[in-house]
Amino acid sequence: MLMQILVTGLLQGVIYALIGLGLFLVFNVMRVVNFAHGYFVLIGMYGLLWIAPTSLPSYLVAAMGVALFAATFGYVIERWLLEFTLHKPGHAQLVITISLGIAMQYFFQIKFPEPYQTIANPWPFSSVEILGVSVNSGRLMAAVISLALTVLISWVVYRTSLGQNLRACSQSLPGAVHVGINFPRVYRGTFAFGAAIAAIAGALLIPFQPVSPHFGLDLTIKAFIIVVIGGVASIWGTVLAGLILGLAEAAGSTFVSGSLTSSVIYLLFLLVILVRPQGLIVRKADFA
Amino acid sequence: MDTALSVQGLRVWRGRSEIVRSVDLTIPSGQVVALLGANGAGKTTLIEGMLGLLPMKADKLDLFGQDVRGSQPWEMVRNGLVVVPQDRYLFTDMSVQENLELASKRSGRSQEQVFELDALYDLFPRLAERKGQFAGTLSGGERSMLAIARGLALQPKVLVLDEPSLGLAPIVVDLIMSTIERIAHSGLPILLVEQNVHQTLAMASWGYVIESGAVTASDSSEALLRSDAILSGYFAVDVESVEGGS
Repeated sequence: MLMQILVTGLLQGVIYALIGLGLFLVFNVMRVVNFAHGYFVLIGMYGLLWIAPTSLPSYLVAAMGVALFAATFGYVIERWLLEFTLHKPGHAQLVITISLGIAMQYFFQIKFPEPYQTIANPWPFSSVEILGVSVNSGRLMAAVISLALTVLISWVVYRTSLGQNLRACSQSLPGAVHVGINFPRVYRGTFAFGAAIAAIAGALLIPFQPVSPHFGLDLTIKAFIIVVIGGVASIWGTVLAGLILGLAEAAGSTFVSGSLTSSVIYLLFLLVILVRPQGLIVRKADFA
Repeated sequence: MDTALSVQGLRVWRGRSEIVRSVDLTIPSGQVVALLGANGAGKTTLIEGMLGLLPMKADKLDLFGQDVRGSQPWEMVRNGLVVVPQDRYLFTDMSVQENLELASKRSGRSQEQVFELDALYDLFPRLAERKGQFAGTLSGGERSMLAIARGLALQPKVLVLDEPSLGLAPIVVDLIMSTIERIAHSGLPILLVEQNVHQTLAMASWGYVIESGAVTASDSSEALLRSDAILSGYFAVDVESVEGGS
């Protein structure tokens, strides 16, 4: 049973980490909490449901397609809804992203009235035995691809000049302006990128996770908890927090009955806020 | 004579208030020009207006003869107007080296690299010692040095230094001022904003005194040093009444 929790928890946790990463990047660079982030995941899920790919190649192409669509959608949202509110007082972004989420939820509800649908498993095998635990191929591949993307994203952020510009905007926006960084462009790109990551995560989830419109809020909250638990200093905090969340959820669903499962996550959230409000990983410079 | 930067009738707003009112200012090629004035006189506002960070209007804003009015700040930087801000705005969680690399990468491959990283470390040996350290852990003097070095790494054609010696110990001030003098010897036109009047005027060829957002005196450094403009600019004293009373 312990193995069961460990394996399913970690596999699910990697996907959570990927979803959290999108929120983390947007928050860190732009200081905007995107409360529609979970609904961007739904773009990926419903997008694939709509396309209904039947083979592995068509599934992969469809996944890239929804990512591209979500990136465009995110760009438009940032450019035409968020951008003019960014350097003004008040919490316009909060209202805008929450409203956007609600609008998207109803859109999906109307367009896809049948709840809890999935797509046919695109992977050429159905399940694998890992450490004595039988794992659905969709779940396994989703975790593998999420992990690969997480590593790729961290490489981009920490090792490329594109990532350098992101970190510059995050650490000092006026500094970024003074070295000639076109920050509105960085912002648009970051938001689009965050949306694309979310949609890819959705595309990875849909083969084994039945989708429903209220799932968006659920994922937004989970991503938010992940970013808070992980701390704002490093990508690895977010990844770690994602894994912990996956494990907590797996443990919760084993030991606690049905709807109480998510209370385990909130309990964990509360504990971290009480004991370690700065997040799991703190920037090194604070100690030097 | 060639002009690096030429400003006429510059007005800059902060919020609803017009802080800088109709300022004319010229930086000739290869020279240091001083901008002097008390706290709150509008020096930083003037600079932020020129860079395009604040709303501004100008009859003329020419960078090497090219009209750059209405440019975004990052376009100004790309065109060669680099400001080293008073607040430094370093990337605190990046190493000294990474701060400089980031700037030098942004300068573009096409431009000739006058200030290579090695040259910058020669100019600021202290930064060479601190290469791998996070910028956030530097002392005040080192921060100022890194801010200047980062500005130079952008390969500027005109450099604006906004109070590089602000809040530093006298010995560090001397070090920074002498380094600025070395930079000026390379022929880079510099607008030096300082409270440190005597050292600044010693290296500048021309100086402006600004008071409540307007230029109240503009003269050669030698003439400014001898005039009363500085005294009135800083202490708002009516010089004649002081002399009359003594």
